[in-house]
Amino acid sequence: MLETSMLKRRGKGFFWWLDKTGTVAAFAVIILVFSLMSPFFLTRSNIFSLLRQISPILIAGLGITFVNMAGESDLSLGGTLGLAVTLFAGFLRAGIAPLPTFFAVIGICMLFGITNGFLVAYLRLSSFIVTVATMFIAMGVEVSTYGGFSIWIRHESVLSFANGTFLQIPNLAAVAGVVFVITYIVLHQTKFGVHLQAIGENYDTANLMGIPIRRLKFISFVIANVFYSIAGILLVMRTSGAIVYSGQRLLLPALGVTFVAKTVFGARRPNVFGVLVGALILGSINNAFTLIGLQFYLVPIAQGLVLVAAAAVSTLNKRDIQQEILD
Amino acid sequence: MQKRKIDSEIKDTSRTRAVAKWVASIFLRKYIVIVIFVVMIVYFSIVAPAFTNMNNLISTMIQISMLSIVSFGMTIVIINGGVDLSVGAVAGLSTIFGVTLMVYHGVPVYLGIFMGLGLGGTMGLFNGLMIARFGVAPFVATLGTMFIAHGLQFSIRHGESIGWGFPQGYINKGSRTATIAGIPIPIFIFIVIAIVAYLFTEWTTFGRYLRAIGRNQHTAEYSGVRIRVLTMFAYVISGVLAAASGLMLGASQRYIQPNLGDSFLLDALVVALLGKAAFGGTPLILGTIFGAVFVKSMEIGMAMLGAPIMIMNIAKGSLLLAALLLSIYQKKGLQGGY
Repeated sequence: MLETSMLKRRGKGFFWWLDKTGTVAAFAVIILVFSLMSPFFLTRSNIFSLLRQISPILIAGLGITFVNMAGESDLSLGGTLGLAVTLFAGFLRAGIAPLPTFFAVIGICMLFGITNGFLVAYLRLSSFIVTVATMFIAMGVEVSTYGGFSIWIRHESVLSFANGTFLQIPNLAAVAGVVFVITYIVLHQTKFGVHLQAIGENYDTANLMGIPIRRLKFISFVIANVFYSIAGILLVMRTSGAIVYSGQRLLLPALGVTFVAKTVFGARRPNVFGVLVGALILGSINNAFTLIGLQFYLVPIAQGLVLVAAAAVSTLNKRDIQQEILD
Repeated sequence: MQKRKIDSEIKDTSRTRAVAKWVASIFLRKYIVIVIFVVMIVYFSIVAPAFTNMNNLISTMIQISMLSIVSFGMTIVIINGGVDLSVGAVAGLSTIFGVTLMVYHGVPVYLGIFMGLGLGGTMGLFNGLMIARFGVAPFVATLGTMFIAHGLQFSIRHGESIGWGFPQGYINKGSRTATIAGIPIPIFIFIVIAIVAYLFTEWTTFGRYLRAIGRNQHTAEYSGVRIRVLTMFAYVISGVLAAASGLMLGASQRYIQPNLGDSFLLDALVVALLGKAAFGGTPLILGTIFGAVFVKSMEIGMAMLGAPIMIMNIAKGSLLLAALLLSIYQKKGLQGGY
């Protein structure tokens, strides 16, 4: 089925071009329309604030990409990201220095990644169900640690880092940029990344090639959870306060970003550059709607329409019904 | 000659013993979740005698009813080989739509409920069209619908809640005092829907076809099953049942906030997957009912023992993991390991 449809796509018709460039063209159109509607959209300060806004979701999306590349799905960020947010703010309030707090939070979130990785890679459980379960556990730990109260950050050096700039680029955006570049190199330019993609593309072939599937899957889950905790720390720095269940609010948008990523340049598979485009599209809709002064509930509607349209365009030539494997 | 006879006798007895052992182990493996459930219920009723109070049982049943109805839709979609992430937002949207018509536009109660269910079905139809006609992955399509419905549910009343002026006929749908044949109406609705859904998935060609699509859509298509129409229908059912569950929840709490159904998605997933894991990896309506009963009675029992409300999520997650590990153990026993 797949092969014939791929052969048919050799002819470079309109749909072929739509498939290849549709998402990026849509992004360009969105930017154009927004800059016409609001004179402030393309100003320097707004672009920087947009970059600050998307930095947590970008890093969370990159984390999911690690797991997606290995052919699994990961929903645990709904819990671990929120746990990182709460723990970071709580530890700072308890008087622990910022740097030890940073590493402690990442270490605690890594435990959830290790659990996921062990259960999925070594016991071969369904990644969907396992990560939903660890998400619930992380949510429970999050609420029971500080009782679900909002915690504000009043630590001077953390706040000055969060609001500071590096070479005139906001620090948070710079951190996201560095993480993005590292992820790109690791996933697309190293043996590790190529092997990870091989597992996701074809499990049996990867197995026959002698790729250490279990170990790589395990590592991808651990790295993903490190990324979620970094995203959570960036989020709490940006809002300078922890609100309970922040991970829940970021879970579905982050998944949306990874789905848009699969449609960029007709890739049809998880890729790092696509995550950036997806995060920029969803983030600029949010940003511009606020600038123009539209109702807040129009933002998810527009984001949903973009998601559905991107997905529909990328499957124009496909005839199969896609199915999810939940066991 | 004599020796051979003895040998065969020995062999026979050892074989029967092995068979008996095998049957016992299969029985234990298959029903161990139910054994655990019974032990849990007995423990709760001894430690917290109020747990088996009639009053408490009825309110537990009402909560189970609402949770099960949304999970039935999820189960039918999982049977069909997909997943529906939009149930929560669709439930909130249809509820606030239907009730707004009733309260502010003077629409009769049954017409309002019908309109709410219809809107749920329409969102489900949108999901189904995307998935069956355009070949979008269910995860993506239903996530998109979830975003759209999440925005629309605020647009109807511009983010305001509805807290008064409900017609009595609507409140009865979630109340424990209004009864049909001595059964509170929400429980009655649940029983009717459960029976219909059970018969529908297990005893009709439609249900068989649905399961066939979930197992292998190509085989189903070559066997002459109209896979696209049936897939679309599964998502429509899921939307309608999500709307029904939301309407019942709104009626029982007599207060409708726009994001009423936010917790539905994860709860329905936990219940459906728990039922699936507990019954040997097959999604079943009976398994889903069992999952809902298990989760709700555990929640309520733990609350009665004075466990802090924050522990509930940890317990839910651990329960799901335990059921999953158990299903692996069961499979190992039945198939000789892998």
